[in-house]
Amino acid sequence: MLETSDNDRALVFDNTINRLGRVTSIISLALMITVPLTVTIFYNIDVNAGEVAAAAGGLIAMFAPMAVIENISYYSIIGAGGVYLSCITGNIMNMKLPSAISGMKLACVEPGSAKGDIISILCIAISSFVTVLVLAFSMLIIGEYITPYLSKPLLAPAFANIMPALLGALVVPFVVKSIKLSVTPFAVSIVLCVTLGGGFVQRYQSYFLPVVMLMSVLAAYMMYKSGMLD
Amino acid sequence: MNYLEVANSKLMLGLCASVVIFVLIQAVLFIKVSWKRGLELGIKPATMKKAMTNAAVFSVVPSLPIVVMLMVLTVNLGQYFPWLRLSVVGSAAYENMAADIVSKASGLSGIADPRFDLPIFTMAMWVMSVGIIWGIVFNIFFMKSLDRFSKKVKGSNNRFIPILSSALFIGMLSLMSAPYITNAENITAIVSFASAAVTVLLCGQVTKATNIRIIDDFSLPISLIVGMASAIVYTSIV
Repeated sequence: MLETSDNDRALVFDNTINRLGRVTSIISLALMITVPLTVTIFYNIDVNAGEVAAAAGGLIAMFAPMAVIENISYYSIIGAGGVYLSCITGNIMNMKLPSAISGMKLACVEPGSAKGDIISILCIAISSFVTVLVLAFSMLIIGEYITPYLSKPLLAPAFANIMPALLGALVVPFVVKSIKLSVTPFAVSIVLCVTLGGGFVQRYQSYFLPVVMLMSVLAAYMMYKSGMLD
Repeated sequence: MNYLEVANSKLMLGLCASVVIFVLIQAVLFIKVSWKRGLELGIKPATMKKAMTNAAVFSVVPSLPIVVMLMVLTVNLGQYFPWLRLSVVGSAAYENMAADIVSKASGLSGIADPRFDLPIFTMAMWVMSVGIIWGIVFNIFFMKSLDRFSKKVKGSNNRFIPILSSALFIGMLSLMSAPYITNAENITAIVSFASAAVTVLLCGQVTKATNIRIIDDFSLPISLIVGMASAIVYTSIV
């Protein structure tokens, strides 16, 4: 009996998150489009829809398939709520995903679990808040003062290496903990980078992601079946 | 009319601010719903607070390069629109690219071209707005089904499910890491990767030895800063 009510609650939460996610996504999208739309109407500007489509076409062709693959990949780690939130505020790879992963590690919950999804949502929401506030402050007050410092050549290598530093901090503890699960995906990824070049792999990362994730799962499944993970 | 007058107008501020404010409201709503569910699932409030504090502290550092990019974009696109774009879906690289595509399509040399005018600015806003919304569109139409399907599979209570999640997780992070750790031409990145990794492991060890939880609680921001700092140190030595 208790289990049923737990399941019911889980279902209620999933429905709430999906409803909230959908409604807020639709409103945000509408508000985002309102910005250029209002300017176009208010200043009576003749915007050629064909030209917009032509200019946006290349971007859409590039970003739409990536968005689909990435969202499915991210979903497996940060859950539906995490994806709804992070798609609206962006900076997923360099901020939202790391803050969620680190939060889950701190809370000792697994990515993809019910508790993991909760921690992900909380961390991503806070992370969005911080970015929005930092940018608002910068735009209104401190931007002019801190930009000269942030643009100093001395700091350039630090900002250029945010991603490798983040990845080192996120990946290595996991590899140490689950060395068996890590061997295959790392071997595949390294072979891909060595044969095709790291730049190529990065450019088409969205397309390589499902391949490597799938191979990682297959290897894990084989180890699980053969009792290697016990 | 100079397009910058429009770009820096009160109207533009109002339009952009309404999106940003809504995004903040959305974050609050998600926190509210999830906090409640977290309590139901038996997650301690202290644990949730700790994870959130860590996320807040950590997020400041990767926000700084975005500030620089904001200031760069502001020169040509006015104050408010770049602020909006970088606060929502946009990324620094994308906004620059989208604005550049529009100026070139209009026969200009780039966004700094003096012939950049109000119609081109408006078109840039349109293209920047519609080019990158597809993740959101996907979520509106398909996320619920994906979530349902995935929960059904997980509901089977299979012992493999936690392993599956870990395998997906390490699959993603290994592909993201490999280009950095295999690039012998960019040793700085390898140094950052390695020093951040060592730092995060050390934070764990120190916490175990001393029982000072706060070190492990902030291991991500600490490691990130050490990784970034070691890039500076390495570049100045070599």
